Amino acid sequence: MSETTNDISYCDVEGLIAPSTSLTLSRSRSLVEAIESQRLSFVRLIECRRRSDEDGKVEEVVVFDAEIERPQRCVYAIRKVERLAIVFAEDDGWYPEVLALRKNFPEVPHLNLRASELPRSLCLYDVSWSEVALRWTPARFVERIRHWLAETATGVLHQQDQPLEPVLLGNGLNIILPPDLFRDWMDSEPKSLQIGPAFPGKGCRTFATNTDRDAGGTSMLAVCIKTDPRQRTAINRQPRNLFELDELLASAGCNLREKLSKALDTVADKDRWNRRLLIVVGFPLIRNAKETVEITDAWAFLTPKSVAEVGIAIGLWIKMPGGNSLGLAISGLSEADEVAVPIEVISPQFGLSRESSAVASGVEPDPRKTIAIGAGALGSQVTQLLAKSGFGDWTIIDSDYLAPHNVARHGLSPTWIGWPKARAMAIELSSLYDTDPNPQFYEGEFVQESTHNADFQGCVDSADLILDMSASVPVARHLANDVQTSARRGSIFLNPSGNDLVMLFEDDDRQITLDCIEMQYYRAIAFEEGYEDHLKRPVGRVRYARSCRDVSSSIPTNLVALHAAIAASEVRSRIESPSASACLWRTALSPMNVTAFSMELSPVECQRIGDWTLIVSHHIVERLQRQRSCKLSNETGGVLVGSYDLHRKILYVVETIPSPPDSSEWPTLYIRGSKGLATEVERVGRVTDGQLEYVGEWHSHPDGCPCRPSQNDLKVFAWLTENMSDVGLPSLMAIAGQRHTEWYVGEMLKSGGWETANRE
Amino acid sequence: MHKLTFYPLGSKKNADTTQIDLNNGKKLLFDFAAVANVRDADEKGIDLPKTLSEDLDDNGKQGYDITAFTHLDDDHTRGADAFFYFEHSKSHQTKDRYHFGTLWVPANVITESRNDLTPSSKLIQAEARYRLENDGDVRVFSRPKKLKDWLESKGLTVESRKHRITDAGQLAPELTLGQDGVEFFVHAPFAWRQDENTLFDRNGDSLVLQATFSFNSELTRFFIGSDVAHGALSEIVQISKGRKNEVRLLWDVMGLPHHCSYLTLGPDRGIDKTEPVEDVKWLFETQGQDGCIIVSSSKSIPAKGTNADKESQPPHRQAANYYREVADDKDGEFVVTMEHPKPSSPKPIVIEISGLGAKLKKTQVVGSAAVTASAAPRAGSRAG
Repeated sequence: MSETTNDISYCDVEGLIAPSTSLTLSRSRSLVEAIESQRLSFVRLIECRRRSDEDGKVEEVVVFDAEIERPQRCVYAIRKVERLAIVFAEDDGWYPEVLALRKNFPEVPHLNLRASELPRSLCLYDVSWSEVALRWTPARFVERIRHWLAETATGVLHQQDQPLEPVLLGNGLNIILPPDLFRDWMDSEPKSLQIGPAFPGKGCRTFATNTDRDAGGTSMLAVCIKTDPRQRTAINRQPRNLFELDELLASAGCNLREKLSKALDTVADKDRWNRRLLIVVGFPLIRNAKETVEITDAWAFLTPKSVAEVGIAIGLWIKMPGGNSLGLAISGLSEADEVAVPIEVISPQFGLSRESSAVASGVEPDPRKTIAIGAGALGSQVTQLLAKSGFGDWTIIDSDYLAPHNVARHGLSPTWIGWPKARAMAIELSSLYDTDPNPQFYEGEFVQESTHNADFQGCVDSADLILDMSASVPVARHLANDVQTSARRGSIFLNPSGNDLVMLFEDDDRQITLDCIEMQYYRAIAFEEGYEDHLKRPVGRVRYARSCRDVSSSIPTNLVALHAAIAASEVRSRIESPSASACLWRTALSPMNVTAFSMELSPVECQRIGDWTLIVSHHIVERLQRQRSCKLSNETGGVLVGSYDLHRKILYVVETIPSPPDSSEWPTLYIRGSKGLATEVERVGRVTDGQLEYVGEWHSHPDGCPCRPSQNDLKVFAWLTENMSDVGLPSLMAIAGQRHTEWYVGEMLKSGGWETANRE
Repeated sequence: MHKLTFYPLGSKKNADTTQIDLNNGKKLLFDFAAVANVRDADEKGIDLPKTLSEDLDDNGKQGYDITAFTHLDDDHTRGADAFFYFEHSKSHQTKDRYHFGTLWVPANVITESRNDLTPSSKLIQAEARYRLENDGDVRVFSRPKKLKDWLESKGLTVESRKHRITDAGQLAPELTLGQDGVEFFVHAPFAWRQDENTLFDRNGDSLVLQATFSFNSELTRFFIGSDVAHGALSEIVQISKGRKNEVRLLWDVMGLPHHCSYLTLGPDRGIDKTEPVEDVKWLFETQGQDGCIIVSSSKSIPAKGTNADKESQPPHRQAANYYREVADDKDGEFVVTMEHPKPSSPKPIVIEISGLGAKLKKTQVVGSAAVTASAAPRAGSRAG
């Protein structure tokens, strides 16, 4: 059939004309019935045809005219009426092919790639045929076609938020190329590439490549070429030989023969002449004329011919007599024949890069220098998740090796059993994508290494971020107090049951350091509702050690993964903000549900009192003042709760237990009672796993009275000092006056007397 | 984008109602003719009051921004008395009524004293007069002096109402290209200069406008023909040419005058095709743009030899054949309100106006879309 209506000519449709009633395939029958019933508007049946495909299977073709909704000024020249041929196959295993029969149907986005350019085949669906078939009706099908043509007419079939369309559609063969190919290889001389099937055996349609000559596979030469930037596909035909590829690239403003000649001209040794050639072409795609290149669509073309044969075919070389060497072709003498070089189109994929990893996660790549302290269950997974999203130039420090039972919850696979965790992690990370330099590792304790290993100290010095995932209080304290670096510091750990994740992050200026944040986190779990069982050890579970951050052996692996995922996501958001934070994520198990708690952080004051450093939060000072005011004109008081770092002689005060009910409160006298006090102190110790304890006493002075200790106060202080020194701890007394609160820290001296040291 | 809607009004009676939805949310209505007898099973025209009230309610509007009546014939006003809120009449001010907004009328609506006006037409006339007299929200398209006698009879001067009057050759001031993406140029009613001294007002002329839409800086033009015949149409062409105003007769969408009557084109109906007189031919063939859309607000075009084909009333097959030829020549469309998308179940003709020009919507209404768009037939066990 070749028909002309209003100067429009249509492509022939193969097959014998068949009466519509004689159709046998259910889809073609139902389509024809729907059109003939006239229930559908905008369609008119032209004819039906029947034929057999190469395997003798029946194909039925329904040809109809469809009226298309289109604006006056079309972006693509779609006609008011388009003639379409729908090819239905007997096995119904694939989309019915939709052909636009008009001979001058424009080259538009979303066409299927066929061996011949015309008639053009519309690519209607972006979901699988099996999915489409579930909901296929003739009316929906007709509307899908009309909609496709209408959207194409207005140029919106390709939505603004859709990725740009690849120039060519593949044939199912893939090749995985180095990620930096276009950056590093463009317009350089041909590069050696080892190419082999990604896995052994039949059915492998993916080639893996390696730049390492020892990597096995076939040694080939790869040439990279880039075309001019273009908007959308202009190519709807698959090139079968070098000549067709040349034509195809010429239409994209690229002279293949010239570029290839230039590249091959640098090849001068027989070994490389005999290798096969891989041509990689980049098609930079832009959305519209004004914009910059959005993506570069890459295609690889593999020839069965050698570099020498291709050089001859493009007219660069001629075979020298004897056949053992090549000479430069003099014009007129060349044996150029590009048609003689068959090519296979291969869809390339690029190996993962930091950038493509980040894109896959929908985030920005972030190459900041990051030290992961601890590569345990949580640390390994957090590090891997961050790295997989393009985050971090990593240094891993861990002293442990991977034991079999670790694998249950660890990020590393069993292949690494027996390996030092830090080294195995670094190797794993380096295989993820190429980074410069490769991930570093230190097999040792953080406290040791950061004190004695100059190499590691340099690493700490230049770090941007240090993540303590060691589940160790000493490590966190060391990081907070003893390490000199401008890096941002944070601690990430799980509670003993694994239900809660805790993240403590310092602010940019270190106004409140990790140890102080840790104290306020303890204060929150001891004195705010809902955290009582946060540090409770699960009954009957085996523990490795006694620290509250030790992971007990039976934390479900899914909880570790869940919390690692939260931590990985939160690390990115924490570093966005310059402020300090203390957050806790609690997972309820049945039904699974995660709730986030953000703890309020109070600024701290640091005072040197004698040998001691006293760290007091604004929160506690305000509390004492408030309680004092409430009880005026009487004096009041209570006990102080906090923690000691005896190693560094630091005394942290975070909270007060208010005046017990049996206390005596008079205008110039306060006798602290004891009712309920021991129970409360015991509770605080229990809830915080011993991290918070009784650290001293405070009482108020009335208005107009200085914060100097009175004779009575000195007696109390003596009593206190005597008692505390019994357990080797200093005494602490605070006096809350009208204007300020004064702090006194004392130690029993050897002479048996005592002296006070206050901040004056 | 902007949207034009031409409603399919009646199987048995021609009528006109066209709605314009501007991109900025303003709604304009040109004529209101609820001519369909919704109780008649053979009637395929829509229930206009129901359709319009649903559209207004869905858009949270109490009425239109502008309502225009091109003239007072029954097929342009029927049912308006029950739908609109009339400021001059207490008995037409119930809560369920919709507001006109600015009322646009040609001079005749004020001045003519016909005896054959229907109740709706009478009310519209009274409303327009009331608004003009009280300096209310009305625009009268007229040569100002033509209203002199009427205004003086009310003790008013032309000067005192000048801001309510727009003459032919001017733009209606309510809407501007900059603010609203549309401007309306007034072609009729106009005065015909017989000689240097005498201006001759054409009586009986309806309102003829050209709307110029702008979207993404692209212009699309809609010619609103109402009921004008070839004589007046020729004069409009002559005047526009004389004033070098040809651009005001360009069109992408043509709202055909008088329901596809051959009299729009020329004096002779013709056997299969009406031949237009020269000026009208120029208007259609030279001024129509590529991909244009010609809309006939009418009953279905009769087939040759049928009884309807022999009637004197439009639509006329011969005129339709001419329009089809014009549309085909410009790769455009000729559509009839009672035939789109199919005569057995017409739906409103919707034309979208975007930066790519005008686009006739071709929405398939089948399956659930068809079922949910109308009431279901009666169900139940009761016989009968």
